[in-house]
Formats: sequence, structure tokens, C-alpha cells
Amino acid sequence: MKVVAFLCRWCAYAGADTAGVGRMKYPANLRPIKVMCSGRVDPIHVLYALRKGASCVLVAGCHPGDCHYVKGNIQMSRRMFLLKNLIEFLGIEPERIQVEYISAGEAKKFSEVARRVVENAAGMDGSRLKAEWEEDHE
Amino acid sequence: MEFLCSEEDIVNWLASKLEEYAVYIPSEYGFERASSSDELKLNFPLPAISIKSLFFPHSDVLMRFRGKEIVEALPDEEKKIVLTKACDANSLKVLDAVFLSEPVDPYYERRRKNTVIVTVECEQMCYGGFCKDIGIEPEGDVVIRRRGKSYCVEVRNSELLPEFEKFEACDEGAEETAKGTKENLLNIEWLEDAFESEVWDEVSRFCISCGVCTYLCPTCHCFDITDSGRVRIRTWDSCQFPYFTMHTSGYNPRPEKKHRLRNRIYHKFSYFPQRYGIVACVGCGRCVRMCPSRIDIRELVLRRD
Amino acid sequence: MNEVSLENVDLILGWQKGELVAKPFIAKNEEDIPKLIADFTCSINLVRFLHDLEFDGKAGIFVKGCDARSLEMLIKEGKVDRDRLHIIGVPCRGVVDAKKAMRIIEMEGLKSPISVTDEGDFTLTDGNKTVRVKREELLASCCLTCRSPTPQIYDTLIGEPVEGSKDEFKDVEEIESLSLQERWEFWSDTLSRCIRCYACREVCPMCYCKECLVDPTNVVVTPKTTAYEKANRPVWISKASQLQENMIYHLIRAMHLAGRCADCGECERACPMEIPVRLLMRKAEKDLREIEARLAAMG
Repeated sequence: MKVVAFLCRWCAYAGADTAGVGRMKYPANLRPIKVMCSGRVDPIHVLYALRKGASCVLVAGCHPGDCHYVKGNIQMSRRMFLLKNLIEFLGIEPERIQVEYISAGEAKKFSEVARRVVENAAGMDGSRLKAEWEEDHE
Repeated sequence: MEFLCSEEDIVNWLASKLEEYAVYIPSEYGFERASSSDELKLNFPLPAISIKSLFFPHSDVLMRFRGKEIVEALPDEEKKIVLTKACDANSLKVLDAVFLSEPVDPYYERRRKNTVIVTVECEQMCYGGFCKDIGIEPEGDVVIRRRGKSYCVEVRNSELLPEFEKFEACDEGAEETAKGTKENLLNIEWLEDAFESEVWDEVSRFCISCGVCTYLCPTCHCFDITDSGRVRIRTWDSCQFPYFTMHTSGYNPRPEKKHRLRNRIYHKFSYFPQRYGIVACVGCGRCVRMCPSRIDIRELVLRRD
Repeated sequence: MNEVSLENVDLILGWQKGELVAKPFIAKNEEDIPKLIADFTCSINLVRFLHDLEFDGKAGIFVKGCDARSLEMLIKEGKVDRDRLHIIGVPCRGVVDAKKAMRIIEMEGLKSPISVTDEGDFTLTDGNKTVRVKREELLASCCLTCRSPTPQIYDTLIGEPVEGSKDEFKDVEEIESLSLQERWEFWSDTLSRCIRCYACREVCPMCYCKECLVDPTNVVVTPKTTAYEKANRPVWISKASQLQENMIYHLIRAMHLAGRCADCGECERACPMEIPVRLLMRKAEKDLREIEARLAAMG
């Protein structure tokens, strides 16, 4: 079970760094991917992660108003809101996409979010968007 | 040999085959495997997806990668009975010519090998169809024609003869006269010197380069091979897509839609007959019915009064 | 067509009579003008053809209410120059869906050529047999909930304006009321039919990207592109027509069209497998409107 986390370079990733410096524990199932801004995360990145077998996808950026690029995080939240609604419309659990705002100093929040997201993913079956057919089952 | 049967006789014969064979029957969108005798009937629609999907599926796994080992993924030699109409049955001649001539395509061959084609003759052409205009006659191992309330079953595959011998023979006289009256309206001689014609600009003006005509066509058989995850797949491809002929260098020999549409017509009515001796169109009319821009192939290849 | 002329335009993009539904047509000289028609058979959205239409001065274009909505959006996005267009608006009482008509023709056993007439309800006839069909059974599904059948932008308007109906997203709500599992079953049934012919993308006036995310070649190849780059180009979804791939394709299309879709219904009419493509776009539209209403309430 894996969770792909898209972390923005200025806040969420820095938050993860701080958590590391502070020796705070968080589950190793979380696979962070550093992006310059959470607004960079295209819906296809999220869907690709689910297609490749990720149970959940976390997209974390700066708090509203704190975006390094003014409003990238707001665009991300709008996009993810729509995408969540659409996958729910298709019959896929919307909890598979999680959106969080984590600042560089919020190491504790980062580890809590990571734990929560991984626990949430552990409680779910495999993603319905996983491309089972391209795996080798024999 | 021809036999006179009722619909019930034919359905019973098919039902008796359900265990040994996979019986496929056309439904609205494609061919579906019948699981019980209730699903068997002789009155079925022309499915949106043609018979080619049974032997040459949209996405076919060719091989699997296991570490450094490569495992060929050959399909089962499934024993099939396929109920179909004259157009789709004729399209198999075209596909066979391509896939079963040297070098033989093992994926197609294995699926095609143990297949019994049961063709039910249509009483009238579908909307948009032009099969009878271009002389398409029912083909197959068993051909079923309606005779009033019963059916005349022509068994062309001698292995199946014993199963029908209990029925009385059918007199075919009336059929022969009806056949002779239909004139072949195919008009393709003009293609010989029309390669640079302005017709193609005109016809393709509203073509949107989608794959509807080619994907629905029972005789179109172009494919693409791609790797995806740990499998290598073969998927349908369409000569109408701009990327179909794109070279690695970035050069595209068929850059405009007029070139691509022209290629589709020439492939069916000129290149294919030259190479295999048959026209690669069976007049099913799927492309005519479904083209989003209402491009009508009949205007190009049929003689109109 | 007395109202249209080629006086100040090079050509007019319009419709001409076709079997069952009208065909797109370009009128270039005066003799072509009488061939133009604008009636209930003109289902094709002509705006899409503006992307590759070549003309020097100005072009005339026929638009229905929904076509005008997509044209408006293209003008807003800077893809079409409003000053080079002469927009001929046609108030629309709904257009015939060719696939629905063909289903009735097959069922009733009508022979071509078939003529369709609009007498409140529709009449289909092949000369020997005549079938009367209820209006809503033959109209394209988007026409039943059309909010603006009269074009909102035009230079010339042909005919009397038509009142729109209020769109209540009943079809979307119907799916929303199902449980997660039921919805999954509904969509896996319909989307596994998709053959990825990309007709929905190609007919769409808003899908004008030169390179689509789902195309197998989605990186511009130049003489300087290295073999490494070619081999490692991003392939987000496979070409295979598998349920998951089809779902991602349709999800991405819905995401890219959210807030831009004019609901002209072309994607649904073009789909050879009768997938309700419009539903996804409408779901996005409904959600966006809800946010908008919430934001407006907050002031």
C-alpha cells in the first residue's frame, strides 16, 4: 500500500524537512514528490498515481494566502475539488484524493497528516483506477 | 446442401452446441457470448462494433515481461460459433487475406481457427448500408435464409452436414432468379487517375480526423504496438489520425486530412484489390451512419442515377 | 435565405440539406446561397470548423444558441477573432439526433431515402410508411434542457427568438442519487464500451489543443529532439481500450472542459458507442455553479 504525496517546495516539503530534522515519525508508505508549487499538480498526475496503484494521493501546499506564486494553491484546491467530485460521480471513493495546507514550520501537522492519510488508505481496498491489466499475474 | 428448418430447430441446434462451443451473438454494441439458450435468436441487430473485434480485438496483449524473460501471450484456440450478417461474414475474407497470408499472424490465427460462422441473410439493407448494391452475398459455414415462416439452411461446411440430415431438403429455385436481378453499383474505375484530384479537398473539408469510420469498419485492420506497464499490447489504430504516419524525424507523409481520407478510400478500393483481388469494403454502412461530419462513402464509390 | 448575402464576407459557413441531418457546407458564391438551410436537422456545431478554416477577410457563420455559447467562449479565449466574423444567429427549437432517428428507422423498418418533417411532433416517412414520433424522442438530449436556444451574440438574427428552459440537472442528480457501488457499475458498464476513437474530442469546439495529453505522441519532435527524449516522453495513459484508461481519458476531458463546455451535445451525438459523455461535463458544470452560488451568497 502506497500513498503518493505531492508536496510544494516552499511549504509542505519544507514542513516534511522540519519533521525530519525534529525526528518526528511518520509512516514510510508515504512517497513524497517535490513540486515547485501545488498548483503544478495536474489532474493527470493524480490520476496517473492512482492508475499505477497508489491507494491515495495527498496534495499539500501552502496555506491560502501564503502561496509563493500568489494563488497556485487556490488553483490546486479548485482543481482537486472538481476532480474529487468527478471521481465520486464515477463511483470511486473521493477520499482517495486528499488536500492539505501545511506551512514550513508545521512539522507536527505534517506527521499527523501523513499518519492520518496512510491510515485512511489502509482502511480502503485497492484503487478501482489501478490498471490491473498491465500487470503480470501469472 | 440446403435444409428446411424452423427457427426453433436452428435455435435448438445452437443450444446443443453451447457446451462445446462459445456461441457469440450480436447485441447492440458488439458481439456477446450467449450463456443460455434463451439468448439465442435469429433476429439480431447489426452491432456497432464489427465482427473483427472477436478475432482482432481493440487491445490485445502480445507479450508479458517478467524480469529479463519475455513470455508470449498467445490466446486460447477457443471453439466458437458466431452468428452474424452477410456484411460481417464477408469482412472475414478481407481480414483472412491479411492476417492468414505469410507471415501468418498467430494471434489472429488462433482465434480464427476453430470458428464456425453462421450467417443470417438480411431481408432488407440497413439504413446507410449498401451491401446488396456492391454484390455482397452471405458467406460462412452455415447460411440461413428466410422462407416465409421457416428458414432455408445452407450448410457449406461438410463437417456439419450430418447434424442437419434429419431435416428435409430445401428447394432453392426462387433464390437464383432473385440473385440475378441485382446490379452491381460499385464505381471505382475513376480512382485510377484521381489521386491528385480536387475531389479529395472537397470530400475531406469537414472531416474531423476522428477514428469512427476506421474503428467501426469491419475490414479496417491497421494497428499500433505499444508497451504499457509490463505488457506489450497491440491496439487498433486509424489512418485518419494525424499521428498515424508521423515519422520519428517529425516528418509526416500524410499531413492533411485530405491525404488521409484519400488513403482510406484508395486502400479499400484500389491497393487492396490489386494485392488480394477483393474489394476491402462490405457495404455495412457503419461509417455512413456514424460519421460525425456526415461524410458519405457511397457518394464516392457507388454509381448514382 | 433572403437575410444572408455574401456582400461583406468571403464565405459563409452553414448547413446544407443532408440525409436525415444537415451536412456542413461552405457558400462561396451567390449560387450557393439558396442551398443554405437552417432548421431542425442542423445538429452539427459549425464553430469547430473555424479552427482550420482559411479566409482572407471576413467569414459568415451560422450558429444556434448552443453554438453561440461555444463561439463566445472561443472569442473569450482569444482563439477566434470576433472582428473577422459575421455571426448569423438562428433561434433553435431543438435539433434531431441522427442516432435516435436511425434507431426508430431500424425498428420500424423504413427504407432510405427518408424525409423528416417537423409538425410539433416529428414525422418520418419513406414514401410508403409514415411514423409519427414524439418530439422529445427524436430531439438531441441537450436540446431538452437548453438554457439559451436563441444565440446571445449575433450580427444577424434569422427568425423569432425562442425562450429557453431552466436547466435543473435532473440527469446528473439521477446518477448522484445512486450509491457509490451503483454508480461504479453504471459507469464501468458504459465506459468499458469506449473504443477511444476520439470522436468526442475531435468534434468538440473547445478541444483545440494541437497536441492532446492522451495522444501517443505528445511531445513536439524537432531535429534536435534526442532519442532519449523520444523514448522517455510521458505516456500518461495507455492506448488500450481498458476500463481504467477510458475512465482517465474521460475524466481528463471533463476536467479540461469544466467551466468552458457550452453543452452543445456534439460529443454525445458523435459517440458511436452511445456513451453519455455529456453527463460528466454537466456534473462539473453543476458543481461549478454551486460554488459560484455559494461565493455570491458570501458576498
